[in-house]
Amino acid sequence: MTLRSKDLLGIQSLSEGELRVILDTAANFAAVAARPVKKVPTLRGRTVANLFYEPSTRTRISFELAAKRLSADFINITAATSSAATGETLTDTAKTVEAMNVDFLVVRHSMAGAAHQLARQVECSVINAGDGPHEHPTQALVDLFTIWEHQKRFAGLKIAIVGDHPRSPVTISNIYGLKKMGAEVTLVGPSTLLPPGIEQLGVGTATRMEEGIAEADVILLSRVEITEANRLQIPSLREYARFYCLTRRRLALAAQGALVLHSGSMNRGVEISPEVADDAFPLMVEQVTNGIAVRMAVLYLLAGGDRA
Amino acid sequence: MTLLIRNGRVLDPSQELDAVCDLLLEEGRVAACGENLASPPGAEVYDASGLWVFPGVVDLHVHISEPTRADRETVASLSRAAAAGGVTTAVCRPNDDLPLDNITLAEFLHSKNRREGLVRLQPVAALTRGLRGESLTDVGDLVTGGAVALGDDRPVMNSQVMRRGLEYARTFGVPVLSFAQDESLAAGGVMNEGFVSTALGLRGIPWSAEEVMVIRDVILARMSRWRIHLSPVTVAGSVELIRRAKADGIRVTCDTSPHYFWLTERAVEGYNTYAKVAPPLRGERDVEAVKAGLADGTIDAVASHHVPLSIVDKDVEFNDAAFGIAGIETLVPLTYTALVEQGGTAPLDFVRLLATGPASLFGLGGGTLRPGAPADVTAIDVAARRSVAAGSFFSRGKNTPFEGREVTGWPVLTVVGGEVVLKDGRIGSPPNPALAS
Repeated sequence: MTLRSKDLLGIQSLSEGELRVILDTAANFAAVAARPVKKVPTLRGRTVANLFYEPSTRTRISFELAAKRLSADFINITAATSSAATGETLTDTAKTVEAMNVDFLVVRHSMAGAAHQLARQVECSVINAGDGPHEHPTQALVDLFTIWEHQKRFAGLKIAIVGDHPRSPVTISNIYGLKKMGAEVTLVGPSTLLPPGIEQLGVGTATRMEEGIAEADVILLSRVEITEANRLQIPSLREYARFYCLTRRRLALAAQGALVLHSGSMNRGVEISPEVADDAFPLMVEQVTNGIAVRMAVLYLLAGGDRA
Repeated sequence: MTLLIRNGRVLDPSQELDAVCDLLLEEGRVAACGENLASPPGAEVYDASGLWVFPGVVDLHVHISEPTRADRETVASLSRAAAAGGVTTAVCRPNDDLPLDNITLAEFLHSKNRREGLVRLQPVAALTRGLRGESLTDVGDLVTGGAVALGDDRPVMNSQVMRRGLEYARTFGVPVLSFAQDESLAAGGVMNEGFVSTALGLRGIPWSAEEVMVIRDVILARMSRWRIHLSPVTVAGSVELIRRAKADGIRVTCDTSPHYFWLTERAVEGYNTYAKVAPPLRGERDVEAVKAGLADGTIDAVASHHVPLSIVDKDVEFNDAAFGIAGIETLVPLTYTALVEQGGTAPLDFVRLLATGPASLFGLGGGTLRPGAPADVTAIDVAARRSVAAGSFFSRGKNTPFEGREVTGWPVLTVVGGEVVLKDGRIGSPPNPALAS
């Protein structure tokens, strides 16, 4: 069991078979995490480096623990916000880090494509830990894993993704992953937040929340806030909440026992009502735990799986 | 010097001439064109059998960064690149490095070119001070100082500034250029808006950003009864708007560049910063519309839109990479290959787009091989195929998305004012005495 590429840059390039292998492997590591001794010697002598051009505490810690539980050596590198800020190009940085005999480079960057540009320059495995609004493959894998654990199927599953899609780090990855596994995906939000041409990825769109989440088996939410970049796409948080906040009343329109997943820190009262947030909180905690198992699986498989 | 170009296929749209014959250049002028011309004593003879020979290519869109950023392009390096690319007149547009918004800068360009140049260099002066789009430059000074047109080579968003600019330019008889892009619609965009930008997670610039401004500019041209030249035109709707405006008798002209009829937005996939250009590469439909516009005369000229950049400008994250393609050395072969070889464009129309059309748009004087015209001549080899190799560019900018593409129609002879500046791969050395006057 292994993956075709040396890198994990996005879900786009993974096959359904590879996705299943990752989920199965993650299930095994999740079992490890339940033992009193949570460490396995699998990646002893290997080195994992986190190269973060923007802060993301959860993702950073999750990779760090995943590496350590596989007995790999681990380093954190906090870079400036971009190569323009330091004058050191991505290429220079990548080559420098590689010279330290790093086996895995986990890259987080605010700009789309940064991990892809970097991966072309190095021999080691590059894992994209989020490149702005493009892909965040491990986070999408965590969502897939949690959905699989609870629903035990993807085919025919109705998934609604609600949020600020052009800025969400995980919408695109989730679409690729869920579609490859056979689920039906609907993107929900005001027209200003539905990315141009998104239907070409085989997803439906809905501008009315009630319609978008009707009969949904899973509702994926992401944090919504107003910044300079989206102030013309969301007039106010109050108005967003009025039409798109996941309330108990709206949730009742979804399928019985629908899963509510949230990919980051919640903005209670904006994308999710406090009551629904309380109900969904145990699942969020579960996702954090799953995140470590999924990232262990990714590191293990990129290292060559059972050949490691 | 005296040069007799023998046996080429001579193409001159100004005389509807397409015939295999000889071309005699004497004292910087075209002396004669005809069959079996006698070789005057001391004349150099160039055998052009199998080659196409036509009025020198006029490239309406190049950039120089001297003296501010000489690592990008200087007069000398641009001139060598132009000669290699078969370009006999390069029209230099303002940019941040060389804003051309005062007479000193325009004169700097002229004097520098007299000493270090090989080809004719004609400045487009800025329409507004500091290229800020707020107040007009001293247009009269700039025009009497040699500016052939006015334009900031970036959007002038304030419609009143554009209107008064057109009216004022009419006083001095030079056209106004417009880079048609609505800055508010384009804000923050780094590529064409659509499915590809969505899939790549990159901010898009919609087609409407161009069309909105094309409509405005057409209206202002009608209002001011003056000539506006839209440069470049990249989307299908713009081509249609201009087609209709021309039919209505409005004085609007336009150009485009080879990358807009060669490449689509998909060239950006893989975060290829060499395909990052402003305006952005568009969709399949737009490419087809641009070709149709070239075929029916809606688009008047093909210009290189030569923006030479250093590797430092491009070897960064896609969002941070500079916009631009170094194109002067590939202008002719890319245009030949796409339009003539693949598109069936008539040879005279090809020459019209590269030489006769652009020369007449800006009143540059060349673009013809009539006796007495300046001896500016380009000859291309339409048989040899060669791959684009940025490493062999004479330009300091190696930023091309066409690396490795096999094309034909490469220039083999470039003559400026009767002086040979390119012959079979060898570039002449400055100064070019023809530029002294």
